Amino acid sequence: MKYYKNIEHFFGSLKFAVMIILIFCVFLIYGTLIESWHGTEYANRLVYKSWSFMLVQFCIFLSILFAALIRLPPKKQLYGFYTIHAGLIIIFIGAYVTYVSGIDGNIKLLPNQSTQTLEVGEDELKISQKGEDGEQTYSLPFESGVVTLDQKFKGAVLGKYYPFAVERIHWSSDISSRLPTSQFQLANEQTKEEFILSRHPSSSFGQNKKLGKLNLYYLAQEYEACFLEKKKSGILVWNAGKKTCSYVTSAERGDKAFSLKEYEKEPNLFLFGLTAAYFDSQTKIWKLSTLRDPLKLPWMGLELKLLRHETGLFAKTLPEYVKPVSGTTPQDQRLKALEVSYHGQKFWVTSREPVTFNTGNNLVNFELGKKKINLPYSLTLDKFTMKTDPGTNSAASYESEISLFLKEGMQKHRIFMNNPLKHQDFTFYQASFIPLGPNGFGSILSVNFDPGRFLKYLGSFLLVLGSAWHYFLRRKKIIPSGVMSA
Amino acid sequence: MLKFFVVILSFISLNTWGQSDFCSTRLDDMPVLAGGREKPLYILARESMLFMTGKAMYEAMEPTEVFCRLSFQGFGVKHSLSPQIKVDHVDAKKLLAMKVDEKSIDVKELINKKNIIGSELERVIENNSYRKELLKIDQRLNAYVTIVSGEAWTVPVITNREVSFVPLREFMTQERVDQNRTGMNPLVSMFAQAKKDYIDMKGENFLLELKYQKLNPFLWALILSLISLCTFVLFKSQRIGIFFASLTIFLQISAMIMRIMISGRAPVTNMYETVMFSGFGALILGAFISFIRRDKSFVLAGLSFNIMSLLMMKFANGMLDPSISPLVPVLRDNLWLSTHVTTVILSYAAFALSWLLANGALIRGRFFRLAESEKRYMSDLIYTCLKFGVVLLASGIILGGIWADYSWGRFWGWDPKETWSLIVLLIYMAILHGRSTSWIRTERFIPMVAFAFLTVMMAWFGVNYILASGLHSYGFSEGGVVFLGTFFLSQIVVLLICLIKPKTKNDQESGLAQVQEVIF
Repeated sequence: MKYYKNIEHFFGSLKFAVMIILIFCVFLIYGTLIESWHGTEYANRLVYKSWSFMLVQFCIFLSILFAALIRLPPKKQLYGFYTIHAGLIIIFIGAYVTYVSGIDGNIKLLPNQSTQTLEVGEDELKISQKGEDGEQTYSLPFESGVVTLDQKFKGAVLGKYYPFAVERIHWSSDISSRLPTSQFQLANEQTKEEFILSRHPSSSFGQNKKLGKLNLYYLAQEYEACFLEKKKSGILVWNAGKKTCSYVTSAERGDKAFSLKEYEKEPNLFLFGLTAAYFDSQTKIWKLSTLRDPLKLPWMGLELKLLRHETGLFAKTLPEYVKPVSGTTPQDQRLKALEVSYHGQKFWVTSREPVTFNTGNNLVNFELGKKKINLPYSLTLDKFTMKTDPGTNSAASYESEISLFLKEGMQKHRIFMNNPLKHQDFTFYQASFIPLGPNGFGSILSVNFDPGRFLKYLGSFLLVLGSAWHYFLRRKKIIPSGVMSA
Repeated sequence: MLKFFVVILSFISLNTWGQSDFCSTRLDDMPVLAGGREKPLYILARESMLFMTGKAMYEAMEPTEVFCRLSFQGFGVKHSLSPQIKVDHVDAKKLLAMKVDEKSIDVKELINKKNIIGSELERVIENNSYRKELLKIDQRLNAYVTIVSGEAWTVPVITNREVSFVPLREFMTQERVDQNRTGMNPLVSMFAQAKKDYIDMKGENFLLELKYQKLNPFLWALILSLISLCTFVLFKSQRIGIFFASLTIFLQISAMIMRIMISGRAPVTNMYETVMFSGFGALILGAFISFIRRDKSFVLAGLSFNIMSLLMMKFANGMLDPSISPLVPVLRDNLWLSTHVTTVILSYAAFALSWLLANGALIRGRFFRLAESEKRYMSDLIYTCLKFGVVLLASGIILGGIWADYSWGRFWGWDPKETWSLIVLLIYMAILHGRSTSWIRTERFIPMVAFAFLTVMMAWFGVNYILASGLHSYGFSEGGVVFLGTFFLSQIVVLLICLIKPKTKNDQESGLAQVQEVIF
């Protein structure tokens, strides 16, 4: 009993209250700085949803609770004080209920597409097999830094998890292979783009690329022969054994034939690593040029530069952990990455695209992304309207007209800022929109299920009532000079 | 080509009476559509000049006259105007080969260097103050280009009994000029007719903004506040002071009503408006508490804070934008705007009163005599302000939570503005709780209250100017870092000066006696 009294008086003391409030403030100040430097999601992971922050809040809860308990039985001049503390306790309980069983997520609605999937803040790995119903999901920890999981899950071993990552180009060695990889730059006065093309099968980069109207093909050097004859063009025959290319006069079995004329109509660029070929529509001949110096192309003032050419190395993109920088990449485009070992092979699964693994017998799909929850009904975006301020492009208001498909039938609703839709304990808010160019706009609705809402509102009401009562309405006791109550 | 010929012809005939005949302040009340609102041309001209050059006037020329001449530049009309575009950041000045003490660059020179800015924007990826300044310079240049191309000035035309606004380039048609050739000056009659047509359809409400601007009510409020403060201090009778304070209040209420009528919303949507409302709130609160407590200290503090706010509104236009712009969608709810934001700003005003009283007590105690009983009395006055502050702030935070729940679907999201307002509340609550313990007696209470106001400044200005992220960054603009830094430093210096008292002869002797006691 004495032990309990000591605890009661310790947690209920004013000095403990002052201390814990100040510690809480330090956490909050740190959290706002982190958010300013690294963005909201990082701050949530590092500070606001960390166990240490929860512990401090729990201590505050104990302080508020015991501060009231040690001042019982009730005294008239403390009614306001009791009301304040009761309000705070109820708010804490409400917040806890929300934390444990609330849902907070987003629905992305594209025009005329039905969806019932809601994305929430946590990440998950989803493994599914072709031909099998159902998928297995593994919830990833809500951490800010690199996490080494070392967990077995459905035949896979989960290694490192990067909640924030960027893909960087790594050059890996393969001395036995002579298949080339080249890095190029294409630029004019308005734009500049670097890209990699590779013939190595393990490279992340392919052999073909389309940049606007320009098609680029990365071919074996032997095919240069097809462009050496500058003056003529027509049907070409490629003899793979002799590695010769000639205009058709006769053909042998196994020869491949193709027409260069097809490639004269649009901008097409053939790259062989150290050389490049293109059709000059002025002189009507194919030109084969070395890339030792930058090559001026006949389209849009473009200039091609060869930055790097390798044969014993190939380029691969690998994710690297990086702390997000606030104000750079939009939150929903941030990359996450997970290292997976499966059937003796190690590979990375990123949130950019799923990985399909061919076991020989089956196709296994690995998908990394936000945790998804399915609603028991689906929604369709019928129309998204954005009104701008007159004479400007700034959004004045935006609204979504949606259809809700329920068992009892279809319902139509309008959702716009400050006018949410409430349906079966869920509330749908107009959060944002996605510009889709000529296809109009997609709509992003924020979806919320908050079982603690009533408690938080009740607690808030008591808090405000209590503070007005305590500070303005109670009769002041005559106290010795120099000491005033809080 | 035909249009150019037409206009040049008009201007040739205009020159017979002097080129200034058309481009004059007579155009001040011409209705235009700009920034999403219909307003008088004077407002657009003035705001454009301030935005581009940092000054409303060009040498001695009024903004409307400058704007008009620049707008007709696109029609081949020559003029000698060469606006100086504002450049603040030292790295931007280096990039543009400016001297460090130069504050602006000739617009023609800037046009030649436009590519340099473009390349630098591609090179600098980090969203730091340099990049923001480069974007700002780019925007200022674009504003100039839009004006001289005749796109910025929009003129009302009536089509199918509806008012629409067309850029000057489209307004200047041969047909229109021909129709107006009967008068002395076709341009004058064209624009006069456009204005008349607009007023016939929509009335003269838009002119209220011109009256508001020309009246300059906040400058008068500043003068009246200063007079009121002086009379309170200099005269025993408080009636003169009360009279001038009442005039100030009346004038500021009128100014706010005008602003509400122009904007259609409560005047608390950006930093300029919150500063304005806080000064007014401090004065009203100060007057109210003075009346209840029968002590003029509060109204003196209220007047002082009102004066500070009005000075900021007058001189800190780089940081506080006085223009009235349309709101982002989430703020377009007058009920929440009027309740949540006003309550929070009033709480800041209450804390400001406590801050001024605390600094007043500290300075008095340091440089004059302040008896223990006086200190306790001052402490009690400060406590009264804090009561208002914490109740208003707690209410404001709750209202904000309810609004956030209603608009965004979450009561609390640890947004920096939300979090910092909670930090303010918690710091003051820590002080109030600590006041009942041995940790914070009167000696510590007063300087702590003075220091605690820095958290208010951080929540109010710091989030916008230093942190600038999160859902609350509506009223963001550059230039506040220096202000905040100076404010924080000044307060710390005052605290150090007031708390570190030089040792008197008595102190030195008693110190020596203690040392002697220890040794011997």
